[in-house]
Amino acid sequence: MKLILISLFLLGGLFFFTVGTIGLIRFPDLFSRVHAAAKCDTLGAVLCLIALIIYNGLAFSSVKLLLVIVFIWITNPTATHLISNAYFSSMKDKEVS
Amino acid sequence: MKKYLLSFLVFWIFLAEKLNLEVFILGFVVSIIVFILNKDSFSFNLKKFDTEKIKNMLKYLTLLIKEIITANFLVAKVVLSPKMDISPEMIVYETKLKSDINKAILANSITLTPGTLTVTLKDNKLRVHCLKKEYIEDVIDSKFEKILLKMER
Repeated sequence: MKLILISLFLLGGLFFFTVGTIGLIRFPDLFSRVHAAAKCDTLGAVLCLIALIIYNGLAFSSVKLLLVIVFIWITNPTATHLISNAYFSSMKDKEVS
Repeated sequence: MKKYLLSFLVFWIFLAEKLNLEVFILGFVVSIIVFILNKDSFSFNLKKFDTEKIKNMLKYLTLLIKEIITANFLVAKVVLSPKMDISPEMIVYETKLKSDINKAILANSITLTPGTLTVTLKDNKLRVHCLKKEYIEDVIDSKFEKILLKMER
């Protein structure tokens, strides 16, 4: 039972990672590429970590993995915002010059 | 200051899973460094918390998780469809929120919701990039902002 749950979550996570990578290649410009990379990596990483939490059961390492999930959910949008912000400001500079 | 240092130290020992002199000294040094680096971030006080606020927070968290899951499935659908029907658009949106931390939370939440991405945040203007034109309405009449406005009061 535990094994089925673990493999289900891991496969789901891998599916979202794959979709994110395909999107990264297929989309035309940077902004839409960032969309694919940001969205799919959040859920992909979180699903993989949930699988690890189920594997560990009730232990200290599960709490630490939960903290990693919170950390990812705070840092991922921030990093995405920084990338797009840098691109946006460089685009504006090009228009001016 | 003492309160924060003590809570950091307890958290460190909790993560280390054991308590001896080495862990204690290392934790103390790290707590002081973390406190000095983040001095300006401790502006909110814990006394203002009441049941209403905690209820709103839980509501916000469940809404956020729901939105993240739908966002992922939506983006996956767009990526995997044979002809990608995307119509990227940039809009400028004004928030009514006052405090900086709430604005940052709103910007991060918008990035996590389906098909929208915060590009810049200046004063109270958010520049949002949408993957499809349909998503613009979701940004303008945002569920997140309503809950945050309730919490600010």
